Amino acid sequence: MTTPRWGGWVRIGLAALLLVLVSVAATAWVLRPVLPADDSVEAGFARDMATHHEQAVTMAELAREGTDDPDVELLAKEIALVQQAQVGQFNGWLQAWGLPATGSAPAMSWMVMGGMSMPGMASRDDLNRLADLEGREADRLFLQLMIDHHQGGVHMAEALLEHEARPEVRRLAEVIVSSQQAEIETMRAMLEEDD
Amino acid sequence: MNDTRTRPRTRGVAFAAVPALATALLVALGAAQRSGDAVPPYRVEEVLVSSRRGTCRDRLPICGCPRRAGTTPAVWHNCGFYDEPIPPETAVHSMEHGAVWISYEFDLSASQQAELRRIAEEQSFVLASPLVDLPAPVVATAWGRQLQLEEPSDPRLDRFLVDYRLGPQTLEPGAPCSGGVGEPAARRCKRRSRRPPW
Repeated sequence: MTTPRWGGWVRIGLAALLLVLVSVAATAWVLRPVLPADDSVEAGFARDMATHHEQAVTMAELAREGTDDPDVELLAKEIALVQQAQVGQFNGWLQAWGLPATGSAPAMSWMVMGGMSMPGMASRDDLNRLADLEGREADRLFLQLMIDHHQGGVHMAEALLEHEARPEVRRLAEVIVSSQQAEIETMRAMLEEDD
Repeated sequence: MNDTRTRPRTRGVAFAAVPALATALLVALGAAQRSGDAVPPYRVEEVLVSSRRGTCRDRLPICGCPRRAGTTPAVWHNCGFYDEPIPPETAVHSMEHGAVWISYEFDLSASQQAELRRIAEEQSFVLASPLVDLPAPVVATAWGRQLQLEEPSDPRLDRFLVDYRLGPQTLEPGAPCSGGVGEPAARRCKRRSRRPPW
């Protein structure tokens, strides 16, 4: 008895379909997005830069509340809004990568030199003085603290750029370097104008 | 018998044809999803916006005072539709924040101005204002990029907005286009009768 003709075709069809499915699955697995690990450079940068930015927002808000100078107010507003938005980006990335905001490695351990304290951070005393001072004195202190703070931020972003990292992380680091360097110049000019 | 001789060959052909057809179908579907409506040839000019460091290489509508280090920080211009000219340096600052500045000729028709108003009001980070001596009736500018158009309904304007509104050219992503200076033009509606407050 001969096998029905269509039986052979069904087998061919099924085999071909299986081949297609297997190759699609294999391709998808090979091309699957690889997410940064908890101890990756990207995660470290996102967490530490967010902490650093959060202090900038704090200082900017303190300065804005106390100042009479419209230029200082404008600068402080811009810094607060930009850096808060970037904190949002860092936290958004961590969420998308399935990572918690708190890492298991110590802060700054991702940086090449490793283990240094966060550069440019103001101390509790500095922040208290900023809150207590008024007028021109407060403005000058704010500008000095923020210049140091930005220099630290630029340093951290440059440190990220020394590593291989996801392109969107590198892109934001590059933006931070250029925009904060420009703001440093603006703030220096504002301090000089005063003298 | 015919069957036994032709079968292996046809089997081989079928084996190859099914995956090939499936792939072709998937590729075609993928391409169809991406094509969208055809946009005419799109060439965006690279322009040197006034540099922060001081040298002002001016190209209208990015004319005016550059943001030099050493000057007080310029305020940015609130995005929206304006029917009167705005200071170029504040518009430049808005572009640093990622806004697209659509500058238009004063004698644009009412319906064309309404079109620009709609575009500027329906989304944030779009600034529209009239300007003298424009090289074209409608000029769309983002930081370092410019597109000159004959009319607002040109589909390339939408594409420019997709490419550059809060795009990769933004110097300060996260910065606002509100809370600065300027009040966008109110709509000139027929005045409604005011209801008494009681």
